Amino acid sequence: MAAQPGLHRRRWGPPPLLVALVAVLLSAEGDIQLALALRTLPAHPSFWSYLSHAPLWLAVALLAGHFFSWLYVLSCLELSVAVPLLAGTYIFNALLAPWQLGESVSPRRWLGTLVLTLGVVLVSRSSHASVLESSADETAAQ
Amino acid sequence: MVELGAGIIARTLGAVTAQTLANFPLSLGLRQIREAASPLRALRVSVGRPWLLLAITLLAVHFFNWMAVVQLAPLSVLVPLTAFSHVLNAMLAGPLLGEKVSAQRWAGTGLIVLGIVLVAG
Repeated sequence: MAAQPGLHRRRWGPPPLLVALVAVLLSAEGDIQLALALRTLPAHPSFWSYLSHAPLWLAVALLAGHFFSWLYVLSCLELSVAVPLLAGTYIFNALLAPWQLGESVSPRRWLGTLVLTLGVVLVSRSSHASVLESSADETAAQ
Repeated sequence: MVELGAGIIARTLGAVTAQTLANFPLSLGLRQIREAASPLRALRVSVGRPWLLLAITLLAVHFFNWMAVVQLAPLSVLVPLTAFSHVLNAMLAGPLLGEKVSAQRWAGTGLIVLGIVLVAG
């Protein structure tokens, strides 16, 4: 079976690129819900006030969803394919934070966000973690 | 909400560092599992070489520090700071992995630093 470039052999499961998009959205929204939850805690929160704070559980659920969908993506795609996709998180964050958190994103911050998103794509498209690749080859050869 | 100070920036970068380092054991541990012939063998390999345990520990360090800073400073500044992970990757690739960092990668790293300065400065 000829392997597609960038893909590890996948025995089952949904398309990795679709799962990557879901992972990026869950990451952006998870951080926003986490910020909302932590900012609505009582002034001197006890351990119990963390546990009983429902918005915090929503945030943890979203971030856990991000984590497991990202695990799936990592197990299917090479890092040099997977990691550039995460750059979408910065854009979604800059779009969602003013709307959901009431933060102001100045033109200067937007420019900075776009510049570093481009930087992230450039960096993560270039060769990545060759040691991990060769170690995976050794394991496969056994 | 307090002003974005040097302490918050340092703590954010520390959280990002733990998360970045976690990617290496995470990737190794997951490949052990996916390449194992059976779930039982996957469990045996994971106990023998506990990459996943190391990864989860680093991710916990990341998460609790991230929780602390998210409470204090605007998210639209903190999230761009997390791009520091890629700068760290470029800096570690040479000494730790023996990789040659390409011109494209240094250019991207420069753009990230510029972007962070624009957002946080």
